[in-house]
Amino acid sequence: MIRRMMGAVAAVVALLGGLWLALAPFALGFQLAGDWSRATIVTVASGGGVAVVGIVAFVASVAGLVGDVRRRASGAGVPGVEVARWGVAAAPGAGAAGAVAGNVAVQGFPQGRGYPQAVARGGDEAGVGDRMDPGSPPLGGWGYVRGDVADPTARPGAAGDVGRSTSELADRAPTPDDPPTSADVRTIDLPDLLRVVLPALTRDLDARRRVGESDGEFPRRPTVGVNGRVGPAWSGFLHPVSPSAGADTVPGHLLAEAATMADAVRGRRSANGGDPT
Amino acid sequence: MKVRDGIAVTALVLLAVAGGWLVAAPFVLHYQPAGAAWSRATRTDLWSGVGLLGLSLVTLIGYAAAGLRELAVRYARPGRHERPH
Repeated sequence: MIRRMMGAVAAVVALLGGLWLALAPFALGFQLAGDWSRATIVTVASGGGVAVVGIVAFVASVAGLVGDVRRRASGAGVPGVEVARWGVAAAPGAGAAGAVAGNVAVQGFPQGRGYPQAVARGGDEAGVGDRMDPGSPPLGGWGYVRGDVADPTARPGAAGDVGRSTSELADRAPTPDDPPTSADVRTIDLPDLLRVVLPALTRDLDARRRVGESDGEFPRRPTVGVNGRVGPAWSGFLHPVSPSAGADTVPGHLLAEAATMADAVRGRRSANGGDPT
Repeated sequence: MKVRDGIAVTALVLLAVAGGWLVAAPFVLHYQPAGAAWSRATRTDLWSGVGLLGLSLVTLIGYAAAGLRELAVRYARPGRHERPH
C-alpha cells in the first residue's frame, strides 16, 4: 500500500517534470522560432520520454493501489484467510491443508492473545493453545455489520458446517448465519457504520478518565509518565513534577512509582519526597 | 511482487536513467562547450536531471523498504505483534 502510494506520487511528479522539460526551451526563451538547436531537441525528447514513463508508472501504481484496497475491503489480504477465518477449512479433521490454513488464519488476527475473544477449547496438539479459535466470534459478536445479523453469538461457520466440503457448503441455500461474502462486506450502510464506529470513538476519548478500569485500557492503553501524569511516558520530560498531579485519577502505587522514576531521571534521591535540594 | 509492481519499478529505473542522461547530455553532445559559461539550456537540463535522478532513487529505496516491511509483517510468527502484558 505504502510503496504503491509512493510510486504513484513519484510518477505524478515525474510526469510534471517531463512536461516542464518539454516546454522549458520555449518557456525560458532559449529556443526562438526557426530550427531547433541540439539542446532543444535533447530537452524536448527527454521530457517527452519522462512524461510517457511517468504516465505508465502512474497507471501501474494506481492499479496496484486499487487492487490493495479491494483486497482489504474483501478481507482476503492473505491467500487462505478468507476460507479459514470462518472456521471451515480450519475445522478439526480437515487435514494438513486445514491446519496450514488455520495457522494462516491465526496470523490474520495478530491481536490474538490479548483480545477479549473466545479461545481455542483447551491446548490441542496443533499447538495453538490459548490462541483464539479462528472461527469463534469475539465478545459482542462479529465486527461486520449486517442488519439481519442480530444474534451476537451466531457463529458464521456454524457447527453443522464443520466437516463438510467447501463445494457442499456452496451448493446449499444461503442462510442469515452464513459468513458475509465480499459483496456483503463492501455494502455497509452509513447508519450501521456509525452505530459501530461512534461508540468506539467515545470509548477512545473516554479512556483517560477510566484509567485503571479493565475496559479503560481499550483501545489505547494510557500510561503513567515519569511525573505521575496520565499520558505518554515521555510527557514527564515536558512537565514539572507535582505531588498532586493526577492524584485523583492515578492509583497511589502508580503515582509513587512515577515519582521515583521522575527522581531517578532528574538525578535526585527520593527519600526527601521529590523536593529538589 | 506482481506484474504491476515490476512495471512500476522498471518505470522508476527508467526515470533514474533519464535523469542521469539529462545531467550528462550537455557535455556528451557538446552543446555545452568546456570552459564556457553554462548556457540556460545546460542549467535547465542539469537541474532537471538531478531532480529526476534524486526523485527516482528515493522512491526506489522507499519502494524496496516498504516491500521488505510488508514481507516481514506478512510472514511474522504469530504473537509477534502482541503487546506485552
